Amino acid sequence: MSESRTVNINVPILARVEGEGALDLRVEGGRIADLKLRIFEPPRLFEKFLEGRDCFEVPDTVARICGICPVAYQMSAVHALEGIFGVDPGPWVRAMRRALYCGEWLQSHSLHIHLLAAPDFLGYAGVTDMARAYPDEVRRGLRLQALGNELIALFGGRSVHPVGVRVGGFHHAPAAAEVAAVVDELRAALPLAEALVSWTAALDLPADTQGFTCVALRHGDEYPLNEGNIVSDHDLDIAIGEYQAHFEEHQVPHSTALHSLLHGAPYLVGPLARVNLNLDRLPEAVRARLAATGIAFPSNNMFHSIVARAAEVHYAVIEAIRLLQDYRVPDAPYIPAAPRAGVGYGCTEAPRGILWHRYEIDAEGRVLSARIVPPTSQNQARMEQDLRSSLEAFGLDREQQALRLRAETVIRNYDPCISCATHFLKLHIETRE
Amino acid sequence: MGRVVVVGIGSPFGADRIGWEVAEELKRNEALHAFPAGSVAVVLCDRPGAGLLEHMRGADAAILVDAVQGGGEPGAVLRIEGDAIGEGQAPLSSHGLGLAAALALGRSLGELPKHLVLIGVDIGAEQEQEAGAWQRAAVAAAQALVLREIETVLHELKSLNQNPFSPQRRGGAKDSFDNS
Repeated sequence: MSESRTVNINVPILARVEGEGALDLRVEGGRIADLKLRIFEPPRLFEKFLEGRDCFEVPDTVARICGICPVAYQMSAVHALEGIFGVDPGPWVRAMRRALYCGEWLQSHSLHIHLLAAPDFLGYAGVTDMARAYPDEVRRGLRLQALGNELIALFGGRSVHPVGVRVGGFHHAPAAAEVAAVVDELRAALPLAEALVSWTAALDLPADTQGFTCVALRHGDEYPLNEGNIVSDHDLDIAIGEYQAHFEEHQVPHSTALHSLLHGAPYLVGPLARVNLNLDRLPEAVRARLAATGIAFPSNNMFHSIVARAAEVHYAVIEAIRLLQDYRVPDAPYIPAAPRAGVGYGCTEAPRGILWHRYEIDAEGRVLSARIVPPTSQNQARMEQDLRSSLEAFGLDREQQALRLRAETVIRNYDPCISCATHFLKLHIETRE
Repeated sequence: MGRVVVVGIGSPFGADRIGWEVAEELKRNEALHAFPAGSVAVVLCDRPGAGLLEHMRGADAAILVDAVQGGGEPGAVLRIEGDAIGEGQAPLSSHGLGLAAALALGRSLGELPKHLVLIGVDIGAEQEQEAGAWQRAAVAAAQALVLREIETVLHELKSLNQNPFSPQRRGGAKDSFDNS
């Protein structure tokens, strides 16, 4: 009955994606004459879709934007809305939201380090090949990822519906026994997270230091997740509401992509930027592990992103234990919120970098307008700049296959949130003498 | 006793929900109660990836249900052996770890259940197909195939267990197995 042949199954493309990733490269006289990268479509459809909706539907709606980081979208949204409604959900909600975000960082970073980035640096075409030689490391990654998902599931249950975040707090508070079980698993995972930092730092990471500006949140005493000012390593320090006065989206002629620029220049968001700007906010244990690697931070070598991600995995485990070890079920998991008209902003640190939301709400609590700037959008200009520099340093006379792999590795450093459909890079190279 | 997990794979968009719909209807289906208590679990999986392996952990058999583009008419329901699913490309992003790649990873770690089948519902060429008349019939047909598959697998596992020379099964699934 069944034939022995390979069946190629194409899983359908999501609604908001209009095509595969593409990198167009034109080389003239041994230099890059032109480079165009198109890999990310901003969620414009969602912004439109939100108009007219009731504000209480926003958290569930925006969670659909990203299958990998729904929590980030919900966090930026609820902070913006609570700002408009003048709601302060209190210390329990604040702490639990940090724990939830730790779960998402843990899940996202573990996946990226082990399944996407490590194969590049160990010389494998993909994780499937790598897993045969490094099964323990891959299993470690899957275990950490599963633990991240469990942490998230504490607040939302196991289903395909988004986590139980709502304006004012959570729909549901987990039982103390459930939380205790997860804390036990987090403690058991701590040695894995510690080992991960050392392991990533020992990988064969290219030396490629470039000049660029880092942007992240910075808070009075915490490593940033949900709150803080937006800062850079070039003297920027602004409240999140001032974002639009400094960051501008600029339509790129060659595609529908928008390049986000800070004072007219590309910039980096994400784990490397966060670590660079917030080293002193990391717990001693994480800083010590990082110091022991021998890699100096702040670092402007994008290939060190994998180490920054590992440090954030270590941080997420430690911080989640801290937040949950004395857990108590609250009287109520949320504060009721009455909508009112106004404009509000939310900016939180998604696994890939700052995710900025702006909403305008009317007196009936309906969304008049929504603006969502994801981290990958913000990194696109920097990625193009990086590719130019990296490929030239790598050597443009190399074989197409080697160039393509280098380009993909450079892109993977950014852990871009490409919609599910973009499976591979189509590389078009035109060479003229 | 054998343990079977049915995983409805999908995403919130258009016809890509169909794996979820099949799973949700299955959960309500009386026919599931015919199987021994604890032998069948039905779960939903949002955009497969490494998480898919978690769903299958501890099961003797996995029956995956997902929308596919097999080049046929919308509504055609296909049964595909796990071994026959190709590997896919090296992904650029976490989203890129689709069904084929996730299974390939599981295979290389030696973690896939021995019995693995994909029930694919062909949604035709248009990626954002919304519900059409074909959808109801396809969901029913897919359910029927899944139920038949469960029956076959449980029967095979039972006869294996009655064989005094069959190897010990791995135990300890974290998810509870019940027919709800």
